[in-house]
Formats: sequence, C-alpha cells, structure tokens
Amino acid sequence: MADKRVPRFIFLLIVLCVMIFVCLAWSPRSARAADQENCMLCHRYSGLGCFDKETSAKRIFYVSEGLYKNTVHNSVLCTHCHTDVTEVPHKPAKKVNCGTQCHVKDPSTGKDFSHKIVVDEFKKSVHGKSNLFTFDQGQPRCKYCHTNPLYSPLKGILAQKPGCESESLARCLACHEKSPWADRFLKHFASRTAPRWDKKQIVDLCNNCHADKKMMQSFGLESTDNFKQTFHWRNVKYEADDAADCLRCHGPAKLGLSAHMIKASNDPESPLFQEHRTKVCGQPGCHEGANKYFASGAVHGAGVKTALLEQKLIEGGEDLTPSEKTKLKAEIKDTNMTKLQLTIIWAIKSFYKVMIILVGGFMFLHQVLDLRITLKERREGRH
Amino acid sequence: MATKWGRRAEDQEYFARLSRVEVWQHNIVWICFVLLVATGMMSLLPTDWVTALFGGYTGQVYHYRHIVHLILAATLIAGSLWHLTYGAVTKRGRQMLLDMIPKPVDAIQMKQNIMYMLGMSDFKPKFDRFDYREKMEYIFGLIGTTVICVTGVVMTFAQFFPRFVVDLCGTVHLCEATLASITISIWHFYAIHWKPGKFPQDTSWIDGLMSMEHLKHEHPLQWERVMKEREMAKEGMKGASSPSSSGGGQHGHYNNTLGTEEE
Repeated sequence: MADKRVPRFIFLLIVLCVMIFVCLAWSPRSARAADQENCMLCHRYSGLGCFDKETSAKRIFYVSEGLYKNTVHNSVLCTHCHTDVTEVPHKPAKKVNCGTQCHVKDPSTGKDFSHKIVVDEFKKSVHGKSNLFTFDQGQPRCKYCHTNPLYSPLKGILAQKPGCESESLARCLACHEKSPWADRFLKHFASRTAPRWDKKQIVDLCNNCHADKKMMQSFGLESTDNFKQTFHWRNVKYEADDAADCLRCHGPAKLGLSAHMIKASNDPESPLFQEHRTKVCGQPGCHEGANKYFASGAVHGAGVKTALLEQKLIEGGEDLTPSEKTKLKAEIKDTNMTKLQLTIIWAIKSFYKVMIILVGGFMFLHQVLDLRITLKERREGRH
Repeated sequence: MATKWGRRAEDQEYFARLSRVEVWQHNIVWICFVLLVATGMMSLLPTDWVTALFGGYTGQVYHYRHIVHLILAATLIAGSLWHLTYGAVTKRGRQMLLDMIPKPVDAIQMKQNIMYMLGMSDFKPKFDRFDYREKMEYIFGLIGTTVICVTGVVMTFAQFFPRFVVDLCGTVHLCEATLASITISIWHFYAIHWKPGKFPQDTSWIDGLMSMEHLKHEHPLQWERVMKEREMAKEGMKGASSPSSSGGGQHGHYNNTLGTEEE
C-alpha cells in the first residue's frame, strides 16, 4: 500500500510560507508605506557601509525602519531628498540639499513643501556664508543641529512621558478618520510648541565649537568658554523659563529672529550690534527697561580678541583706511576695557578666597583651642 | 549651666541679656540668613544633583526659589533697618552700640585669651558685656549685611546699572555670602551650639535670658557690676530694683555702664 502522507519537506515548506505570509501581513503599514521604492531591500542591513576614500571616515548606510517611521520625514520618500538616486543599485549619492522641493504638500498653501526659505535665510547668516569658512573648517550644516530625532517628548507637570496622551489623540480622531495621520500631525504640532532643543542643549551645541579657543582664534573670534560662569548660564542650568541661552540674544525669537538668522555681532543687522542691544537686553521676560549702559560690555569672552585686533591693525598697515584704523583702535580700546574689568573681578574673587582661608582658618583654630581649654576646665571643675 | 532644650531650671537665677525687641531682631536676622543662604546656594548645586532632587520640576522650583530669596532679602533689609533705628533712637539700643565698639582693650584681651588657650599663660582675661569674639562677629555681620544687601539690590534692578557694575556685584554677593556662611558656621555655631556646656543650644535666643552662673563665667566684669549693684540696692543706697530675678521671664532694661536695671 502506497504511503499517502504528504512528504515531510513539503509540509515544512507550506508552514514556512504561511509564516512568511503572516509576518508580512502583520508588519506595520506605515513602515511599508515609507519604503515604496524598496530601498530597504539593501539599507535594512546593519552592516551596510564603507570607508570614505578621501577622509577615511566610516559611513553607515543602514536605515532603521522602526526609527525612520517615527521621524518627522516618515512620509517622505527616499528619492524626494536623494534626488540623484534614479536606479538600483545606485552610484554614491550626493549630500542632500535641504532646500530641495519635495512632493509633500504644504497644508497651509497646497504647494509642494520645501525648506528653501529657511535655507536661504541660513545662507545669509554668519554660519551660512560660504566665503567665511568651509564645512571642513567647521561650518555647520543643517544636520549639525537638526539631527532629526524622534518626535520630542512632551514636557510639563502633567505630561512627563514621551509622546501624546491618548485622550488628545482621541479628540483628533473625532473628526479625522485616519489614526496614523492624526497621530503624526498631533505629534508634529505638540513637538513644535516648544523648541526642539532645551536651553542646556543649545548652549552645549554652540559651545561645541565656540568654546574651542583654538578654533575661535582661527576665525578671529573670542571663545565662549566662560559663559558657564555667568548668571545667564545658572538660569539655563536650572531650567528657568526666561533663561538666556545663546539664541535668546543672538537670534531672539521675541524680536522675530531665529537660529537660522544669526549674524556676526559687528554686522549692523545683528541684534547684538551696539545700537540694537538695549532691545535685546530689554526683551520681555529679560531685563525690561535696560539702559544703554547695562547693554554695553561683554557678556562672555575676553580672550584673544585684543591680540587679534592688534595683529589686524599691524598687518593691515597702510592698506587700512583712516576710518578703518579708527574703528579698529576703538574696538581694541573696548576689549582692553573688558580685560581690565575682568581683571578687577578676578582680583575681588582672589581677595575673598584669601579672606575665606585666613579668616575661616583663624576662626577654626581659635574655636579648636577654645574647645580644648573648655574641656580641660570642665575636667578640673572650673567650668 | 546650660539648660536642656530650652527648659529653664527652677533653682537657677537668670539675667536678662537681651530684651524682647532684641530677641525678635536676632530671630528675624538669623531665620532670614539661614533661608537666604539655602535659597542662594541652591544656584551653585551641580546640575546632576538638581535633576536628581527635583526632576521635571526643576524649572518651577528655581522660579519660586528666586521669589522666596527676594522676599527673604526684603525682610532681612527691613530687620536690619529696624535694628539700626533701634540703636539710634532708644537708650538701650544706643548703649548696646556703644558697648559693641571695639576698643584697644579688646585686642589685649584677645592676645591674653589666645595665650591662655594655648597654655602659654595662666591668666584668663575677664570679659565685659561683649567680648572680642562677639564684637568681631557683630562688626563683620554689620559690614557683611550691608555689602550683601547693596549688591543684591543692584542685581535685582540690574537693568538700570552698567553691565560691569552688575557683574561686580554678582561676584561680591556670592563671595561675601560664602565668607559669611563659613564664618558663621565656625564662629557663631560653635559659641552657641557646639561649645561644651552649651550643647545643644544657648537658649537666650528664645527668651533673652542667661544664667547668672554663665554670666559669671563668660562676662565676669558685667557679673561683678551686677552683684555690686545688688549689694548697693540691698543696703538701700539705691532705690532701683534688682537687675534680674530668679526664674527669669523679666526683661529688664540693663544699663551696662551704670550697672542699673530699668524696667
């Protein structure tokens, strides 16, 4: 009698197919939606990468699907940003231009969305002017600050957990039918109501470069390494609402500026140009009513600037116009005054340090002796 | 003899060293001082500690810390002004200020006392109403409070002052507060809390009273005057009542120079 049982390997094959089908059917829809171009065929492998021929830097091309679907760009197709990738396998892709017009519609205008406005603003800023320095020299690009993290968690007394509360989402879903869409937009709005970076992170981000004395010296700038000795930093450190981080003065949102519009402090368009400073210091929530004397002087930094300006004056020599020379001399005078002021503050600190050691030391010794003699008197019954 | 936890001994005789007004002035100043140091020094805590202590409430805690610090500072200024006015307009206050003025004898007594404490001399100086330690503390306290208050006012109204002045005041305010905290913890806390015979506390901050035995040991010249005055009163040479009464509770007006007690 012939054996009518299904061969074992066919049975296993059927089970495997069913499992694959089930897995595919149950995979998150949104993740698959983001990969309509099948880029994850290769980029899902965590080992995908190479060493850059020129810089020898390690470059990773792996994309985590799970993370990507939680980023602000989760509905953007890969080729919307990597516009030079037209075939698979593709040649090394160029760096993404964040000013590219992508195919997402701007819900406010109905037009194709783009970061071009921001990119154009940035190009006019001190960080975006390519003639000043190159990326290799430390010029920040979009990704330097915009690490494109997951949606920022909500903060506050009642909502300490990341994400949005289910009740909020439920209110959206009362009118908007698609849950993923509502979830994405709610997170987007909620995360944009507060800055993506907290104040401490902003200071640390800026200080990555600006506190580096050597790097700043090469650009003729003062380092900001002593910002953390100021009262502004203390407010930032302890998360005060009105604390002045770097942007509060260099790109104050309350005066209609942003991080993308930072100008050099000697640029007449800069909020920190001498004539505009009272406005910056006197912003609502800061030193309202600040006068020009308060708004003068250095908030941080007193290092290399005098030497650099003097060097500039000497090197410029006869090429400098009389007005340029006068301006430089005035700047040198100002920086010298700042140096003198900081020396006075240093002297006061030193005086107090000595006083604390001398007075505190004397008092301590005195009381130790008093303790000794009092104990002796008590032993002898004289106290 | 020290009393335990503020309880007055029934068999002890007490002397009114501080009047009720002076007790209140002292209490306002020390309470404000301790809380000002606590709220002020919070701004020097390492970030990790702050995060561990307050977590997500750090911003709110520091916001209210600032407000509390300002209210306490205003109270301290008011208390200090009250004390100065009291010293200027009342007889007892003026006498207290006069007794607080350092004299050459204080320097001599300081040297003698240090020699005695070092065991290089057997002579223990006899102190009057205020000894050199109390005078030093009072004078330093007066100067320190003035410096702290002036710099604090400048920092509070920073927008009206040049930047450099504000920075200078910030530095001085912090340094002076540190110096004051250290000296008070070493000098004053030892004298009123840690000193054998006074532990856990000298209760005169509560009722202004000091035992006659204590007075005899720490301020012998004043004690001698008080005793002499009593004898004179007993003999009927003076009509004034006794300078202190057994069991305490009466805050007489004691005139240090004349050695008389006025109700």
